[in-house]
Amino acid sequence: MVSMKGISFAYGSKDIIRDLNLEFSPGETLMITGPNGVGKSTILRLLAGVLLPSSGSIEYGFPKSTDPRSRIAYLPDSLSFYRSMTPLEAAAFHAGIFGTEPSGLDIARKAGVDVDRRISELSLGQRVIVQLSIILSTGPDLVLIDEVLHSVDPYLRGLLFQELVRVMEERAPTMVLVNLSFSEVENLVDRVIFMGVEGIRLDESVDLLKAGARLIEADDFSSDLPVVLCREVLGRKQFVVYPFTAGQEGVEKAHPMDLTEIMTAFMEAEYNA
Amino acid sequence: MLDREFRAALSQFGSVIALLAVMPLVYLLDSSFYRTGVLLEEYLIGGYSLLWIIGAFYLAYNMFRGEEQDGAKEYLLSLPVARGKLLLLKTIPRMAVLFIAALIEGMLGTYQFSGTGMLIAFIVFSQVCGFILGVVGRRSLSARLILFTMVVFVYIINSTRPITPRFILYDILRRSSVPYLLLETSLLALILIPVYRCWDLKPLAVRESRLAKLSIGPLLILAFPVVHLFLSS
Amino acid sequence: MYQIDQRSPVPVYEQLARQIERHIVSGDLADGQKLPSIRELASALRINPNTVAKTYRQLENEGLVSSRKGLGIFVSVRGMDLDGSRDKLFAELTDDYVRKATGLGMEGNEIIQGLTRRLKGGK
Repeated sequence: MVSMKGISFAYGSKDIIRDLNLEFSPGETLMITGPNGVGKSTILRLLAGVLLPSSGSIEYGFPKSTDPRSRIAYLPDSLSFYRSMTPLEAAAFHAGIFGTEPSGLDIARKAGVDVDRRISELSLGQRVIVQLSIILSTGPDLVLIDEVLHSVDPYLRGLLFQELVRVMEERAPTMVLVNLSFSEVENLVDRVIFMGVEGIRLDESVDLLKAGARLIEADDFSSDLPVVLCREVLGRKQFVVYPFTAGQEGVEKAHPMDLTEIMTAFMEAEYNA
Repeated sequence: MLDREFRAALSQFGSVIALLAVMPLVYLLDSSFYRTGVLLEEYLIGGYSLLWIIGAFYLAYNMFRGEEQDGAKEYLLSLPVARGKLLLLKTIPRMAVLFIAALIEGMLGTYQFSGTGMLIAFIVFSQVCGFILGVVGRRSLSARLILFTMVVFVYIINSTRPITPRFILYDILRRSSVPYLLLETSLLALILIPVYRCWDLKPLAVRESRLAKLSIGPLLILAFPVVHLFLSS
Repeated sequence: MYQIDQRSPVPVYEQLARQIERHIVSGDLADGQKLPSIRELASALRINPNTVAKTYRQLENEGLVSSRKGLGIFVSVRGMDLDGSRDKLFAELTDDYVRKATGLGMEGNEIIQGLTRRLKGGK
């Protein structure tokens, strides 16, 4: 059970995160999304121990004497790694630090990676696979992945998913993904957090979110349904409503939406606010 | 990780000492111009001393070169290695190489420092400054200037033989290295501890200004004996 | 083989359970046949293994499958009223169809006539 309590992060005069409170249950898979620059990656970095909060505390629920980073697998969007090493060397190095057996390169080999070439010489997608499989091989309880999944071609992404599913099934870790595109990870995720400039605007389970979000096409719309966004498409007005409760079924043409559509609406609303 | 650091220290220091091969050439040029009567051996030994100092600066400066070139700093911070352990892993191999190389110098008959304590103090001071530079970021011009200056000051203080004193008190202080050792150690700790307790991935400018603020006092304190030494020589 | 409707407000585990049920009822999945492991299915469909686990638990509660320790999940419907399940699924399909057809503005008779014609292969 990971909990962030009263976390604030600032440097100089810049406030990045203010008084954040979040809790993650064991085995939960979360997605954090939102426009660029609101602090999503910062949350991951704080969890990974790569940034230290200005105030507040993070409790991981690991035994007192362990360094939390030994139970965390973190894949930053910078893909920070010893690039002049080969995958074999990097796997050995990483395993040495974590005290585990070097492994995780089978997937990389399936991806056609020459494990004796330097990581800096690999393509971006191959680097993501190599790094992800190496960090997952330490048997983590918390997996943090920052926005790298889009830069990978569909075949490699399939391999990545196999790896993720394997880890999820073996260890049931808590997984926090920061992602801007949802179509790929939509069904992997239990819970979505949408962060706006002001902080967290939405924190909901995916099932409830999809059950409660509706797209309504109507020229006018006077109702006390909570409107997330109002836009005009092809001359018709559209309203995205959340949460939608069954009692208001009387409204004509209320369409359900997939996660991409719902999140896009929230993003649009954030930009237009 | 330790073997990586040892290999880096040896190869970096070795590449500096290898410049010793240039020394005979310099000697030939020098003796043909100046006819000072200095022997080639003395030249080589003097060259070794010079290269040792250069090597000390080079090792300190390149402490985090691998990480900076590879873009591995964020990765390093995410590893379950305590910040204090990283300090040791980085500095101990380099300090060991420098110490052994200094022993060789001693066997050759030259002693750059006024005492083993002063030698060790310089080695520790220079390498820890290299660590601080790496933590703040080698790209930072202000960090490079500040730390370079401090190491130079400490070198001057530690390598100067006792000279004809102007004031009796200074003479007493000068003969005993202990006050200097204490001073250097405490100044180093004053800077190091805050810097690495807050060592994370905040932007360079933030870490730079923090170092600058912490270093003003130590720089001035160290400048004092240096200026005094220059004035009394 | 299995399609998840991303837009549907029906939770993924429920959708998957219904589809597996349909395969069982239609005979595509035979009695005693082994279903894919949680990892295989989650990997193939790119869904959370927990969701697959939930699906299988649901099907087990409904008596359509049973799990054998260490061996996996198997279809076990011997003696079950499969026709009854089929009728239930057919009713769902039909309601959906009728809803969509009336949405086009068709009346009950029109729907029946149109449906009969198409079943006979005409236009």
